[in-house]
Parts: sequence; C-alpha cells; structure tokens
Amino acid sequence: MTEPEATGAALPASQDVPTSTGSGGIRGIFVGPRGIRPGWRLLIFVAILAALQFIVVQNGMRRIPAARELIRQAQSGAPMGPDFQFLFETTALTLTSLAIWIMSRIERRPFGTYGVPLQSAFGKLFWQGVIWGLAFETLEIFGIYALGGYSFGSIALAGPTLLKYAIAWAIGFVLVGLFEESLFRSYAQYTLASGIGFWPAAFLISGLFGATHLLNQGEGWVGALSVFCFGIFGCFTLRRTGNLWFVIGFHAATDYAESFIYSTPDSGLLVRGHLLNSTFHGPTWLTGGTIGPEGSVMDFVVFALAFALFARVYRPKENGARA
Amino acid sequence: MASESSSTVSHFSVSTPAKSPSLLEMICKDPNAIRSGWPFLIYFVLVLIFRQITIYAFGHLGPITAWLRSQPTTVITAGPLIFTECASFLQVLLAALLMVKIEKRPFGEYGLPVEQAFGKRFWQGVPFGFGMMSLLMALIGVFHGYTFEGISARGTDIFKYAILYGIGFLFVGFFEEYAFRGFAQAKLGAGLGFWPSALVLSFFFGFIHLGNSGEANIGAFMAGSFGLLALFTLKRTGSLWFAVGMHAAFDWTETYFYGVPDSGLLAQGHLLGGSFHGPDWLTGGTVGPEGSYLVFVVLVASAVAIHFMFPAKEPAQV
Repeated sequence: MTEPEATGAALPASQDVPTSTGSGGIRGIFVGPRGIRPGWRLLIFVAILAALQFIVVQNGMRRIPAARELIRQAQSGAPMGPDFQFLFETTALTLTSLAIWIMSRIERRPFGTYGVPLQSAFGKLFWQGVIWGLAFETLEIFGIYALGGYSFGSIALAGPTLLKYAIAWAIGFVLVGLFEESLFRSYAQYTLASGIGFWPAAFLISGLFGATHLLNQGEGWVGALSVFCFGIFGCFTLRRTGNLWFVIGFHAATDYAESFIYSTPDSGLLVRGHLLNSTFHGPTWLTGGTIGPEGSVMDFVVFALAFALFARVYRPKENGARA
Repeated sequence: MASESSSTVSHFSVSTPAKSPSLLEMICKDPNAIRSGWPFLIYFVLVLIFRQITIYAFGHLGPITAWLRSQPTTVITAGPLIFTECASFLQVLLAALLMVKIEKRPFGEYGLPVEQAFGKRFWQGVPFGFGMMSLLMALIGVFHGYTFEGISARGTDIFKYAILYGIGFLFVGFFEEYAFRGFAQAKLGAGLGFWPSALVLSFFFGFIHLGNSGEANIGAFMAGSFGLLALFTLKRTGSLWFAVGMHAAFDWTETYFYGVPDSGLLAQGHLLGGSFHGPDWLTGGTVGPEGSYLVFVVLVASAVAIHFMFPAKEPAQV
C-alpha cells in the first residue's frame, strides 16, 4: 500500500483536489499545481476537529451533569469504567469521522479513500487483526510470565458481571481502535503522505501518537516508544492491506487483552471490571512497571516478531492492492 | 492471507505494472519522501543526536561543567548565553551541512547563502529589530506602563556588555532562525506548502518557548507570531539574513539596551533601567514586554513595513 505518488509520476486524478486554473497571488498561497496544498488540507482538518471538540466537548458535554461527573472521575486517577470509555470514545470517534467526512466533501473523494472503507467494516481483515492482536498480547504476557514477572492470580469476576464487563470492554476497545486509528492513520496519514511521502508521514504521526500517550497518568517514555512502534506497525498493515480494518481489529484486541483479559495497566491506565487478579513482580524492564506491558522489553521483542511475520504473511501484491 | 476488494484498497495502494517493489524500494523510491519527508526526518534526528551529545558533553567536561553549573540561573549572563547558543547553532548547522553533503545541494538553498553573510539584508534587519522593540517600549510608555529611570551600566561595562550580548544574541538569531526556518522549513515547505509548513514550525517555535523559565502562554504565542514574521521576511527576501539581524537586534534591544525581562529573566549588566507598572496585558508582567498585548500591534506594523520594503516579485512562487 502506498499513497498515490509512490509511482514516481505526478499525482493521479484521484489525488487532486479539484480547483480552477491559476495559482498566482493570494490564491497561490493555498493552491498549488495539484490543487489545495497538502499542508492546508491538514490544517483545515485539524481546525475542524478542534472546533468540533471545543463546541461539543468543552461547551456541550461539560454542561451535562452526568457527563461532567464521568470526566471528573476519569481525571481523578481512579480506574476507568466502561461508561466513561463509551462516552469519550464514541464522542471522539463521531467528531473525528465528521471532520474526515467534511474533508471528503471538500476534496470530493469517497469517505473510504482515507483508509476506513465502510463496505469493508468488520470484515475479514478486521477479524484477522483481532486474532493477531490477541495472539500478540498473549505471547507478550506469557513471555513475561515465563521470566517470572507475571502471575495470573485468581478469577476476579463471575457470572453476569463477568459477561457484562467482557462485552462492555470489547465494545469499548473497538471504539478505541476505531477512534485512534481514524485520528492518526486515516485522513492525517493520507494527507501528510501526499506531501512528504508515506513513511516519513508514518514516522511523524507515530511520533505524535506516542507523545500524546505521555499525557496518560503512569505512562513513561518507554511506553511512548512502544506506542510509536505500534503506530509504525499500524502504518505497515495499512501499506500492505490497503486499509485500516486490520489494525483497528489489532488495536482493539491488544488493548482488550491487556486491560480486561490479562488485567494489566494499558499505557499506565487501569480499568474497572477486569477478569483476573493478576500481579507483576520483578524488574521494571521486564514488567513495564506502572506503564504496563507496553513498558516491558518483551513488548519490543514481540513487535519485532509481529513485523517479520506480517511482512511474510501479507506480501505486496504483484498488481496493486498490497504494494 | 486475504485482502479486501480492490475498490476499497486502491486509494492507499498503487498498481505496479511489473514486479512489485521491495519494502526498501518503496521507502527509497517515493518521490515526495525523497524530496521532502526523508531529508526532514533525517535532519530532525541528526539535530536530536547532536543535541544529546552536547548535553552529555556539557555534563562531563570537567571545567566546562563546573563553570556552567556555577552560573546564576535567575539572570541572563553573557558568557553562558554565548557558549550555549553557539553550541546550539553548531548542532543545527552541522546537521544541515551533513544533509547538503548527502543531497549534493548547495548550502545556500536553505536560507543562509554564505555570499550574503552579514551583507545588506542582515544590516537592514538589525535596525528593523531595534525599531520593533523600541516601538513596543514606546507604546507601553505611552499607556503609562513603563517609566525610564536612567542608565544602569557604568564605564567600560557599557561597551563590554554591549559587545558580549551582541555576540550572544547573534547566536540566538542564528540558532533559532536556522533551526525553525532554515533546512526544516525548506523541506517541510516543499511537501506541505510554504505557509502550512510555516504555521506548523512557528507553532512548535512558540511551544518550545514555554520551556523557558518565566515564559507564559502569551509570550509563547508572541514567539510563534514572531516566527511567522521571520518567515514572511524569508519569503520576501529569499534568505534568512534579514531575519537573523532582526531577531538578534530585537532580543539585544530588549535584554541589554532597555534592560527589561526577556522571557521572565533580566540580564546581568544591562544598559538602561526602568520600571513597569500597570496591568499585565500592557506590561507583560513578569514575562517582560514580549508578554504585552501591544506586541501584536508591533508585529502587524512590522509585517506591513516588510510588505512595502520587499514587494513580492513572483506571486506564483509559494
């Protein structure tokens, strides 16, 4: 998978943002020979997103007492519940999708152009991603366990409560996958790549992806580096599969396995209502400390394996889809 | 493994008529990446590496480490200013020199053509920067926010500190202009467009000013706006020499000449003395004049002046 310019030729018609002729004067600041300049498109997207966030979150949700209380609880550092997850991720996903949709109208491209084609929603690639994600996290946790850094402990939930949280967190983390992948690797990746190339864009956006996770309580630079690797892996799957559905499934499954199944901190965040009473013990390089498995050296080992295996399994296609 | 239908993947994919490229080929043969993205990223990484080496060296070079640690941190002093800013400029300069060597392109393409060094544009920028800060101080004074209280420095100190701070702020000008508006702007601008890149880099320029002790949001916003003005001069003059002179003179005039806080810190051995009184929006409070709202009046007036001083020659070239 590449952005269109990878052919070495000028942008194909699908990449141009339709404009009338001429690019001099004030107009030339905004419009280049291939239409609206990529930087402006990206800045317009960011501005729309910021405006939507300001209107809906800052001036809408915070005025609703129940939502305000959920936000307050989340900011207090207490373990996060699925109710906050639903509220936050659904809102964030809706706003991001709306911003991408607006850009797709401005650019006169189908929404699916930006990596999340709706006709492929929750299709084969998504479920392959889920399996890969569960396997990834399982391998990592068992690696830490084998080196004596993790104990599974007892089962923490039972009966209907177990079922409730199992389903609630599954939905919650699918929302996380959808939101974070849409925000970082959909329109932003597509547009930045059209200006500076696919992989440089991937590195810059993954760096930003990692840096934003530093805002989480309990997160550290090793965890942020792990998130960066995750971003690069996500871009690699985008490159090879042509869309984001694999990495959405992968993202949701790794977070779900980490937070709910193996009941460990995820980017420094603990959740309320997890499966096991598990414990970490041993050096931070092995367990990740407060960051969780993302801060473990095992995370990078498993990422290296995942890259190698993915490159072998999802090969570039001879003609098209997977370059 | 299966893939989705071609209709869903084609926009992020490319048809290759014959053999599909390897990962290395994909990385190396992407024209936008070669023109813009990779040089920018490699330059950025090189600067980070050189910066870490410098920080490590400053912490482990016996006498230098001891000297730096003995310096006061609550005031600006000329020696450390010259030393650290020179080192910072060398980091970005070395990274850029390596990049031009790799790219086999002339160094002058990236904002500081050597043949124009300290020439007409630089010396136009110096009085311009002095005038900008003087206008700001005058405006604050007109609104009764500043009272001039005479000359603080005496005898040979006047000349000594004038020269030392001149050198120090020249390095500040070189470092900050080249780091944010030299190689990085050229490469990012080639990919994103000049002004989108200018906005992004100016945002980061403002953002990193928040790391200065004593800096506030308004001061950081001013720094970002100053960055846009400097980029406007780059656009109109074709080089950074005007901006380097303007930047150096602006800081020198603020810190040494008027002796007012620069990002919240006063300079040891400044020329004039005075006191601020009035609301923070007028005086900038503890941040100094760069935290005053009037700075935006000065920046707009400066942009208008630059527009007329250096008319656009080729409007299509953005």
